[in-house]
Amino acid sequence: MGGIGAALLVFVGSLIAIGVTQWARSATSEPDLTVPERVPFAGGSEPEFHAWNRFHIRYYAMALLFLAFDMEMVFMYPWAVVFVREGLLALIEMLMFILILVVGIVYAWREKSFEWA
Amino acid sequence: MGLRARIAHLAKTGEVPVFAVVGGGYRSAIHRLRLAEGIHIVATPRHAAVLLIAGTLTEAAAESVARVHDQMAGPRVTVGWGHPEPTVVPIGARATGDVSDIATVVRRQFHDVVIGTIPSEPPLLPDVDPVEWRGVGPYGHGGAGMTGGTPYGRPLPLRAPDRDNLELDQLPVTVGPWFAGFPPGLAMRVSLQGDVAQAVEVVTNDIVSAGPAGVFARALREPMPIRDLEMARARHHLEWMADALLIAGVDRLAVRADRLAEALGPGDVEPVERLMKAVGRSLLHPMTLRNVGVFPPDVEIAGLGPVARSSGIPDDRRTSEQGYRDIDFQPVTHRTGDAWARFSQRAAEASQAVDLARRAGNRSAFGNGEVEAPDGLHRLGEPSPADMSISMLDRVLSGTEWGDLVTIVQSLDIDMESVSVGNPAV
Repeated sequence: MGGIGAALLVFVGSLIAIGVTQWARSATSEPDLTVPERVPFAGGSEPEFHAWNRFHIRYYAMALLFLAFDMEMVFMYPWAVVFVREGLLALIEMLMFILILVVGIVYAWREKSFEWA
Repeated sequence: MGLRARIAHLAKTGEVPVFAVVGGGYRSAIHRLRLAEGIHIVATPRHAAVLLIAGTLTEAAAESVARVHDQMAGPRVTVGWGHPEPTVVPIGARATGDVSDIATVVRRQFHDVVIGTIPSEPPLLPDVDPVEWRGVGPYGHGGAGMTGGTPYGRPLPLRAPDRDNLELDQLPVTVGPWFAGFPPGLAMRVSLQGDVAQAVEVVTNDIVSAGPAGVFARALREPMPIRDLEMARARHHLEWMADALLIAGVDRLAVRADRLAEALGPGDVEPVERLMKAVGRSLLHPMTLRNVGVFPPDVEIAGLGPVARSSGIPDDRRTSEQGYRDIDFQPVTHRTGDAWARFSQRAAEASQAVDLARRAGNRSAFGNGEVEAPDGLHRLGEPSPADMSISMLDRVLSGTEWGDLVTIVQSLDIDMESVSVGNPAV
């Protein structure tokens, strides 16, 4: 049995699986639901408005900070590769880089970005 | 044996999922039913197969109960418990006795409907869409793409400035009267922006009718034994704690509180304190209750019993009763006035109550038209504590997050049975 045989087997197998699930569904399913049965449960009240609504994602500042430090970690990989060859100079450069980012953290902290608004 | 029969056989051996519609006089009984073997009281009808209608309801309840009934997935049955004629919806079987009676009826009906000896109940509400779909909406909803489909033809949410003054959608949703997080019978129209409730409006108060008068209601007119009053108070507070623990998702401790409420005797101070220690070890305080529901100083809470005492107001009508003075009663207070203080306050009052009940002897108290009930000060002909709580809901809930809103409403211990129909807040 070659590649085509295996593909055929998968194909027939999935056809059978679809057939079985269809049969199981029809054997167990209820008739179509009425409108009140479909309405989402809100404690016995009727929804007035469509639930599709736009709201403020309040963690966006936190998400941006996460991205910034995520990228910082990416920069550390090539730095780690050359660190042994470059020695102290590389360490100082990385410390300066992190220091600049830490200033960013302090600023974000002052602006209350880490509080779940 | 067909597939349906096999599944039915599996289903009937499990716990019975029950959605309880709790009317007048049965709040405490439902707590005891939670402990019954093979009964699982669930929070939504979507999980339930048995709709239990307990206690007295008014005609105004009919539509909401019918809607809850229809929202149960089949096979479904309705069972009444102490729910008199005329019933709000047709009832398949009924019981009037105690917890073991109703548990037996519920298990039998569930078994019968699952194996098919009685048919599943048909829907009660007509198959009519109240807001029929009329093509593409003004914002393109119902059209092609992301917003496609047929969203029941309902309008899109309103727009209103949020707390950063950005114009964002505001979604008014009516929650209740049978939402598991609210006291039974309370429905509120909450305008949500994300999870922040910007405006809150109570929309029903005439759904639950008062059940038979309890010991506190009778104490308005005649002196009652302090022992009975204080045991009823301790049980009430423990059941309230069970509700709070359920809402917080600490189900195991909720069951423990209900067990304790059922078996409590005079002088059982130690088990109540052990329960409170276990609650203290849970993450309830730091995660969900601390700093939640601290009211601004202009909100009138005098007369709200434990709610007032938990913010440091030592107001308690028991201090002016000779019977209580004889046994050296001193009101307990807490200071912070948040939801955790209200929890600790009720736990402390529960253990104080079982101690008072032990020492009360045959002394009696009240009977002069004023009673310090577990939810506050009741006076003949005056608004009840529940009336006061309902009137301040819009002020104390506006601007809170949804989770805090549910916690605050529960922490007020609103008894919808004692809300006057003429309450101007509604």
